[in-house]
Amino acid sequence: MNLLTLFYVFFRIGLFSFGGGYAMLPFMYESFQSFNVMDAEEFSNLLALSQITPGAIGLNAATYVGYATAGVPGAIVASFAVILPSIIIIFIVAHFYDKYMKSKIVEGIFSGIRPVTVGLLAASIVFVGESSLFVADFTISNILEYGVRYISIIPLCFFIVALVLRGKFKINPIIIILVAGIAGAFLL
Amino acid sequence: MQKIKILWEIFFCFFRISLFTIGGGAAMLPLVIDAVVDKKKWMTKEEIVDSMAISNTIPGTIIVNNSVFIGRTVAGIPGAIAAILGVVLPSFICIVVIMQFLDKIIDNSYVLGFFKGALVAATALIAVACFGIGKDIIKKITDVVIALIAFVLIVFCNISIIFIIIGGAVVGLILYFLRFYINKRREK
Repeated sequence: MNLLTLFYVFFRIGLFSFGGGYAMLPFMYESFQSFNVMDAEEFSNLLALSQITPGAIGLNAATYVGYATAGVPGAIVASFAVILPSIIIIFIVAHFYDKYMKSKIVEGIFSGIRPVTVGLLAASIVFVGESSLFVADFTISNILEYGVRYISIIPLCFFIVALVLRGKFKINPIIIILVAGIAGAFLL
Repeated sequence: MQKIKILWEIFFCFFRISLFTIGGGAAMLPLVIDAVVDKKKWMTKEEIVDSMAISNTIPGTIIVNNSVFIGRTVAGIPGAIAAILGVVLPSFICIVVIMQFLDKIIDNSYVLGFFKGALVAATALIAVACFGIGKDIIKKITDVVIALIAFVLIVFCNISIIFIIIGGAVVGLILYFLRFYINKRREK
């Protein structure tokens, strides 16, 4: 696959992936199938890789596929292609945000969006918790079924310690992540 | 030169953030708040919340969207470029390095444990960020209702985040003008 196709595939992925993160994966898989980028087995390798790399999944995937396909130039082209739509759209939106920020309509809009973001963050606690603390998906029936055992005990200890370190002692979040990771390597 | 200094700061700031964001877009928020709001004081918490909302709405990865927006706000187009380079580089380096050792790393229990620990930490950090932001943003009873409804819709009804944010924008707009007219009538 040549660089132009690589660029096109990932530009499309960057343009049509709404929701970020794992929400990008279905569209990515479809695109890979349509353009014969990789088969199902390689895709599951990609998934596994994305679990153990930090940063944005879409970007990591682009770098991985680009590199596997065409070495460093491929990685550069694919990465650039996947973030280009973001860059363009953000510049457009930010321009209007700056220009109309003080207008009543924009104020009204964001007065509704801000509480939604709080709800969104709370939802993120649940989602990230599902892959680290909880034993099963976050549904009422699961919680009732598992009761106290719904939350794994050692991760729960980690959670409480991290909560206190950040909430009460305001320790740098990066340090907390590193410490939790190192402890996790040996305890989890 | 002041300008160059800030660009380097932006670059390193987002390099660090991208390197330690494990768990998706929401996990980025505590790191952004700590670096951009608390330490460097480049933006306020409200502006970051707006940036998160916008980043969640437009296509592409949340992490990249957010970085471009903040970079641009702090230092215009050069700032955006610095932020983008900072965000992309860790992915790039990690993937290229990891791919050399992919087989040994994927099943390594230490690596998996590390990421499990990091994810637990991320959950706690998001919780603290949610609470901190909630305290600043939730001021009226309508805010509480909006946040609650958003949470329920996202977690239990699986509705796409974009629709919820747009819904929040509409509701916010309506409430804003309702309050405006109610106050006007009171004055008469």
